[in-house]
Amino acid sequence: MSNVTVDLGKTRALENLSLNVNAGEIFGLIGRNGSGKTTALKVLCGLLKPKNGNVFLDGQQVNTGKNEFKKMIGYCPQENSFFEKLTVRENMKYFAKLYDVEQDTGKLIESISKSLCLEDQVGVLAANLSGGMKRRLNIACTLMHEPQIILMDEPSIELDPVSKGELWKLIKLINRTGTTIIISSNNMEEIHYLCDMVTFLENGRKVYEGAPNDVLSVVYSREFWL
Amino acid sequence: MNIQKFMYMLAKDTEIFLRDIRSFMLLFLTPILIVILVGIAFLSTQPSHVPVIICGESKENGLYKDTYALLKNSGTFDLSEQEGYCREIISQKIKNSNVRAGIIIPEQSANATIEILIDNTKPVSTYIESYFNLITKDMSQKLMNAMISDMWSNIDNISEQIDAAEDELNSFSQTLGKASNDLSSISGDASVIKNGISAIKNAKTGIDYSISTLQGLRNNVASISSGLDTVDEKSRNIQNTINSLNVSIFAQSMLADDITSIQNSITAMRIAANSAENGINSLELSLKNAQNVLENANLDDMERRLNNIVNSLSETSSSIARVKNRIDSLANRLRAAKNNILTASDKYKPVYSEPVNSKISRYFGNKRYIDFVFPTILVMILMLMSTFLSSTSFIRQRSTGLLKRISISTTSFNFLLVEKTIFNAFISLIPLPFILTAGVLVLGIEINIYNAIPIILVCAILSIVFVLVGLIIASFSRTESTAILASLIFVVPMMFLSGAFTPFEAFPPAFQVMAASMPITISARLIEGLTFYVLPLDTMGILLAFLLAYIAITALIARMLIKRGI
Repeated sequence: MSNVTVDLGKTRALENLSLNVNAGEIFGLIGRNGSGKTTALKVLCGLLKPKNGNVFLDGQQVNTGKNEFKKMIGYCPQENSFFEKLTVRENMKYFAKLYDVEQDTGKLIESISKSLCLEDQVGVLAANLSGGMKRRLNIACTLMHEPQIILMDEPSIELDPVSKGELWKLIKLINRTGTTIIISSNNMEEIHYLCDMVTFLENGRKVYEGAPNDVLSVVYSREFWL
Repeated sequence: MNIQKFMYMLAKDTEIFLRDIRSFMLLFLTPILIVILVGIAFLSTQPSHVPVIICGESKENGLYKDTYALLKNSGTFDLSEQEGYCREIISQKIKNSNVRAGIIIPEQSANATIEILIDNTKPVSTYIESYFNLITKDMSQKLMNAMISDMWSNIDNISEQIDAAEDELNSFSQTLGKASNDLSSISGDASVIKNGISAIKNAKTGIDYSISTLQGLRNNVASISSGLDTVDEKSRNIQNTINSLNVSIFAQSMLADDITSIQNSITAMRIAANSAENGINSLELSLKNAQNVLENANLDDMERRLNNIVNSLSETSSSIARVKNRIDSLANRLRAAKNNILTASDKYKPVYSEPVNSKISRYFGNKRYIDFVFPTILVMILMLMSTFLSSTSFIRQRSTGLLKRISISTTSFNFLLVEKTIFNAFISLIPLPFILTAGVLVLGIEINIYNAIPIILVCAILSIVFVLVGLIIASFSRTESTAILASLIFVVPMMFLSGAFTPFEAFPPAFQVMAASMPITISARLIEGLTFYVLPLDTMGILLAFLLAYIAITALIARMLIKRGI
């Protein structure tokens, strides 16, 4: 992401934000509510068009709306964005259809549900899943088109500590398959556990960037806030 | 467009909707219940059991009885009676909403004013007002008819009297003509008399002359008589001479005979002369008598008077001629007046001798109001369902982030818009066959297999319009509540301007144009045209073009706003 500026109405949501994410890493965006984390993710996945700046993937501009780039990116919003009245399998299949996945969706569903420990729930209505399972389904839907980059907006929000732990393990698992993951969060523990690199955002601007420990030590330092 | 993908998404969206059993039940029950309830409410447009109070000083009054009978027999009003003047009671009952109107019948029927108090805050007031206007006009018409009938009868009498007067005048004119002729005849007689008098006067002159001539004649006779005396004396002398002469006796005898003959002749002549004298005297006497008579007759005065009479007759005759002319002229005028009356009678009697009648033909035969309002109810339900369903489902999917996920997928935005539009329209149309069936079975609407298909087609187009309207509403509504409230801004005016509840003609002109151009009105017209009468193809084409234009416009707006609103 290079020098991206986004205005939401009269508010400047991002200002000259540049981010550099390496392939295969888990990249964290932290900051307070309204600092621009979700906006940055929306720009990355093409939901928002920046006023200035561009997004590149392997040197190619991706925010052009082309399907080849859309297939590379998976977006997992902080809400459970699937159909409550469909089963796990039906939801996964629906998202595969959305991305025009050509391979055998049955096998794909089996494989992803297994990897996310959802294999016993595939016939269950999404509405009947527990919070943690719903979050897994949310991620499963994102994975259905096998994106190279996954954008996760507050993935563990509203989850109990046990479910959080399971989810983090799951994210790590996904990352190990070579998928680049960009997480926005205001949970320092999550960032510390998951991320390889972290950018701290404040009022739409990058305040600090570095390894999670570095960032956390800076963020928790007295000088930073003074 | 990937049809397989489209059908898959459509099927899944439908499945999702139908898996919500409450939504599914309401989808069927709500429109059917609305159609049945509203339809039954509109089965008859004739108000009934309208509470009305009637009072008057006297219930025996003819006007009271007539009014009461008219209201009672109308089958519309529940009448309650009050004694005497009841304005206060009516006011109180209207205020308490116990009655919708009150009627106060005056005591006198002539120049009567029936006082009517109407609760003008209720919709039925217009009907009541029209009804009372009609019955008062009806009663006035009856009075008017009686008056006109009486008038025609009088006019007929006048006509007859004019005929009689004309006959009288003609007779009088004839009499005057005869009198004029008589006067002329008298005048002629007078002239003859006048001539007679002139002749008499001339005769008198002749008599005078005759008397003087007789005088001369008498003298002549006296002269002759004297001459005869002389001749007689001479003859005697001759006799004596002869006698004295010695002449033969024969000669003497012969001479004596001659002298005797002469003397006899003289005697005869004397007798004749005497007789002539006597005749002359007698004639003179007669003439003098005649002269006296004529003098006593005073012919000049008679002639003068006769002249006066002739002059008077002449003047009278002229006067009579003038009077006759006037009478003739009067008779002509009366004839003209009568002709005018007859012409007017021929022309207006058929018009005014009977009240103005209206022949009402029910152009659509036994069709009822519900037959015409049913299409509007149908499209209204579709409008409500399409708008609410699309706006709320869109907001629900947006609030869960589903739309965001879909919009960043390889599924294009146009694909998504078309799929959502078709899905919502399809869901809205699911109950349509049941609504139509309820219309046929419960309300007796004439829908068959031939017109059902075009009706469904029109409904589909209308549903698409309102699904898009719903999407537009959803694009700027953050929550479902906002969307429902915002939808009301569109649907409620359309419902009331659709013409189902209030006639278009009651709206201000600008609203009439607006109401006629609304998609709901256009669709209702199209369905009416497909169901109850045949709309000309060009009109149908124009209406369809309007609907398609609405689709195009709403689709463009929806595309523009929704993309921003995701």
